[in-house]
Amino acid sequence: METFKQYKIKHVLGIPGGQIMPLFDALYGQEVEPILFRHEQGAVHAAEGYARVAKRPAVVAVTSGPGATNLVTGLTDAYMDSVPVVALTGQVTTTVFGRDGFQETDIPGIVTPITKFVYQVRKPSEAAPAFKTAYEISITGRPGPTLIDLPRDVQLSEDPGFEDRIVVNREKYIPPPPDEEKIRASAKMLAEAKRPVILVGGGVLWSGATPEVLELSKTLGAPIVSTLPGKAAIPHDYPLYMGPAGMHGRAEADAALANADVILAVGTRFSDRTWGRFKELVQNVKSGRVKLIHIDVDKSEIGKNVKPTIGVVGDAKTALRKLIAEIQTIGEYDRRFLEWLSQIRKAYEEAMAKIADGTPGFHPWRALKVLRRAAPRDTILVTGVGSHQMWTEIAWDVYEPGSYITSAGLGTMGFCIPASLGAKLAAPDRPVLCIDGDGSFQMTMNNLALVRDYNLPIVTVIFDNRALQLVKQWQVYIYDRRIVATEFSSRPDFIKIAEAYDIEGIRPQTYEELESAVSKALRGNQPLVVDLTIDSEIDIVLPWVKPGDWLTSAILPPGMDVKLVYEH
Amino acid sequence: MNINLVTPQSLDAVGRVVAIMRRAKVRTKSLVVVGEDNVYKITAVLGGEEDEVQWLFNKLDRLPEVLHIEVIYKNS
Repeated sequence: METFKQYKIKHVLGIPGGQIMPLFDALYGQEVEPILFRHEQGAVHAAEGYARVAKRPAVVAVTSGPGATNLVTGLTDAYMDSVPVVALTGQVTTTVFGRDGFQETDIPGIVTPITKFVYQVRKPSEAAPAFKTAYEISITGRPGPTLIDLPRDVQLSEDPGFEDRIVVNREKYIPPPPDEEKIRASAKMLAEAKRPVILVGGGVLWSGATPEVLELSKTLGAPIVSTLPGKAAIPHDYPLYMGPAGMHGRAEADAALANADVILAVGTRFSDRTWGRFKELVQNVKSGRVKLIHIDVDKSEIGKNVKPTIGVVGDAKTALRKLIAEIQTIGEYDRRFLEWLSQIRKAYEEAMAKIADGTPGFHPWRALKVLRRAAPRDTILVTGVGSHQMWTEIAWDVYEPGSYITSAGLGTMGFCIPASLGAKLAAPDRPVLCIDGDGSFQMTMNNLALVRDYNLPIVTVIFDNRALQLVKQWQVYIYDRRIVATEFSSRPDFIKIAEAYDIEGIRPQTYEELESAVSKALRGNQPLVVDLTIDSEIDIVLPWVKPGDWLTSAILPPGMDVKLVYEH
Repeated sequence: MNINLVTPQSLDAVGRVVAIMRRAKVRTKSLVVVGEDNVYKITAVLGGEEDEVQWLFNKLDRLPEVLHIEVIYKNS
């Protein structure tokens, strides 16, 4: 408990059970509040939501065996999206290790590939230093999840009065100063570029480098494109922000990336989801047609998927600050390129407005426009995973950095409800809106119990198409419309689910009704569940860069007659 | 090509190293773990492309348990 206090831990998220009971027992009468979830996966997603808002890890505590294994999806999610989480798992007593005791599981072995650090405590003098090491490693450099396995007898031991040293090399996570020569060369390259583009990843958000990205963009006249996690880093009302690129990114963002002559990629791991495929980029960089500058805090990311022209290891904010200082005179960049990108944006918005106008009932694109109007600017938007998530990628405007939270790398259905609860726990005074899908919602909806239990009034809007819609979209387009195991029955009634958790549930019939109800709930800090009926047949998310395709071959919505190849 | 590294004397640390090696696009010709003082000294002899060995080196170097690491290319 002393270590918890030292690290200003306010909550422990989890579920108790036999082998972690001593730790929960120690919380009795303490200031550290246990937050009781309905499933351990919920606790760990909530910790992710908490960390992304509070910018520091939350602590998750669960029992051994199934309690511990139920963390696996959430820890993997945190690992893929570089989110700091500290998990504590109970374990059978050291005397019965390896004897297949009740609820004994080799959790350190299981989470080995999905954690930044894992440690099984074997004696009481290791417990506090192991926690401190796990906490500090989780947040130093590129963030990530850590796990400490605590055998029951260790938890029950007296404080030994001294601490053992946990032998690790944590200094390696302290970002090195960026290489001055590479910064100078990068500055020259960017200053001479005709069509420079800045690609922003989630690392920009963690580094707090949004102001530097915007300044650089203004200086260079460079459009900003983001990855899905990077979407949270850039205010969308900045006119040179093109949106996220990739599978369900925006067409102008795909076009910007595919037609740039110099790309400055910051805090991104070059996911196939952002690029479709790497062949064109690799060839263009190799031939010198495109110059690629990659800045990342994790040196293992430099050249992992694409070898850059210049790779800079370092903290994004520090490196960009130095880069800005080095850029003196700017050459003549191609202003027509920016106009062309703006035209693509306009064409998309017009095409979608026409489609939405012709859609009886709700269209996801328009529903998001309405919800954006209903939500205060500082609203934290959390998504589930599925077609609704992809629509938010395209159509939700982020105004404040860090206010868009999604499961990007792992694509974990069920993320929305618990991550929203975690976000609300971290920022009780800010509105939290969960845009979920009916499939995603059903995976973790049991955690709605916490809304009333802990006064965490989140607003949930379910884009209810009664299908695993994104999978169904692939079946329609790639599997010759063979619809297999993607359509749900009408059960359950989500309004009754909401009522069961003592939350108001509504099923609006008009956009006005939707806007009014959500606005009232968010501004009044009241919980609400909205069941938004959407016809599965119209819910086709476009643009779409099919898996393995290049960005310029994105399928665009009907009526959008533009090419994504720039003629210069 | 060799990768030589040092970890604390813990099989958990060795397990973490092996978990990353499993995912590398290289052939592990031999893997020798020797306990010495309070550490394990691990030597991996690898076959494959230099880029892939570099990938493995970079990934291993991210582990906090890897206290020291070096890569030795055949021709260097």
